[in-house]
Amino acid sequence: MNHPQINHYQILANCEELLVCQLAEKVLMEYPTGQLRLLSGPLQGLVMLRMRESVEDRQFNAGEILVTEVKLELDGQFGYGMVLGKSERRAMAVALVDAALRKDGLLAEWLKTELERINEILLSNRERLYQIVNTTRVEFETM
Amino acid sequence: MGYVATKGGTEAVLKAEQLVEYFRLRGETEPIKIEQIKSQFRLAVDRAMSEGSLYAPELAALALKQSEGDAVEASFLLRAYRSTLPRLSYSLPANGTRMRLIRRISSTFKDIPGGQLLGPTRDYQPRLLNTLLTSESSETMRRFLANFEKQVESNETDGQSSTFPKVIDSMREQDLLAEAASIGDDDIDEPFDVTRKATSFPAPRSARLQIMARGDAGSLLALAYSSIRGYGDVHPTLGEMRVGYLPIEVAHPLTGESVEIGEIMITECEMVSRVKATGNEEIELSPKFGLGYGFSFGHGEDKAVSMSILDRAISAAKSGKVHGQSGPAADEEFVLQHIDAIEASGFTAHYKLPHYVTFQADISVLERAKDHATAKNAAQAEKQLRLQQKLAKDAQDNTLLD
Repeated sequence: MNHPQINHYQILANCEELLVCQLAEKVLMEYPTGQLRLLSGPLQGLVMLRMRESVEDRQFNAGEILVTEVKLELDGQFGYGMVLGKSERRAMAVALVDAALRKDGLLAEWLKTELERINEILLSNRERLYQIVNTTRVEFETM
Repeated sequence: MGYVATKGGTEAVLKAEQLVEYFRLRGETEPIKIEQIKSQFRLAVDRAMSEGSLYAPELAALALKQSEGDAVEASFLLRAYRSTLPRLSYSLPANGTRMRLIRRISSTFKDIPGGQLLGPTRDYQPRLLNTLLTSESSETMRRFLANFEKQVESNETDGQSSTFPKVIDSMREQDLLAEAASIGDDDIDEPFDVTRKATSFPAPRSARLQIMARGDAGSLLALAYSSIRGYGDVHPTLGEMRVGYLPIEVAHPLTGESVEIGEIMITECEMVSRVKATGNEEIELSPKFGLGYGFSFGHGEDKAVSMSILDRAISAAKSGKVHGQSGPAADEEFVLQHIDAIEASGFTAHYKLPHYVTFQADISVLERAKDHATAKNAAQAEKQLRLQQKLAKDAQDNTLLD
């Protein structure tokens, strides 16, 4: 089955936590827990935001962001999960789905289809917010 | 002056800690939920994150609850918490053009590519207290949301995306902006990190932006205001101010591919200001505008605008093309050393801690000075008395001689 190019990290990072957890649950059902090895985490830590400023087009350290990180191996496949905030469940779920996606097969195909569906929800939520914001679009007239 | 430690007082200190809890709770109202602070005190949460230099809305809401709404105390708590965590990585360089915008305005041109979005703003509201809020209930909240949603339903989308090009990019295309002056000490790829290295002056631009981005909104506002009110010569026009969601990406630890970890809300501002040509023929031939950059975590408009004004004033002063060096707002060291709320309040707070020994020393010095002054006065009075006595005697002698 052909899937359009999707950025699974982007979808997993922005959709509701419940949806990510549901996908991860499916992964755990497919792989016996013996095949899962936690390499590190869930670890709470910081990511320094490097902002590119628009005056001289140089980078600066804009401040730190609280994140949770998980590194694991699922049946020998590395899986990576980093999410905003203090959220062990979500980081774990992202890492599990990431690893499962990289192991091609039926489960990966199913996950991709699900991710496409979730992406649709995400896009429509974003469009909805933009629609609300767009009501304040203004054209001032000079006198 | 050196300081001498004090000890003891544990009992009273512990009781004082309990007393502050007592004062927080003695109203016996319903406990405020973190979630409520996060959503209904959105701007206070954003300010605490911005000044605490840590993006963590739940923790910022918690800090505000713990500090009974004290903004500086809340950001202090966030900084302290931050210091207990490891830095796992750096984000990939993020660019404001990728923001999903909820607000975007410009004062340079009426018609900007993509248009102006007022977004959630109180700029056009009369500042009247809304007494209806005193009787707000879950029911009135629900009703407002339902009505609002219904109104939106009837609006068609224009199919545009919520990302927009920057106004200053079109100004650059029209060759209206002066190219950035290359400042020698700043030509380094790795941005300066004030949390790892002590800043010295003149500071690289990256350090300046970092210090201002974690600075106190009130201090930045006061200094920027001083500059535009007359203690400086920046005549700013808002190139663009944008508020929205910025996707954050890190590099995958093995493959290096970009991994999006979520979106955060930020405010960005570019301030346009004319470059005053003083003795620079090249610029006089081709007058252009200069730019200042402002940034804040969360929705922080005053802060981003103030920062962009100060950035412009300092850049102009440093490059010698002066926007009035007369004011403190153009003095890089003055600005950067005084805008951190945690440092400033920490220094002020230490005056409230026991100073008995040093104050005793001050008193002894004062007493010795007093004794010295008294002795000096007594000696002078004595001298004066002797002089008067001598004069009186001389006068008597003269009378006798006559």
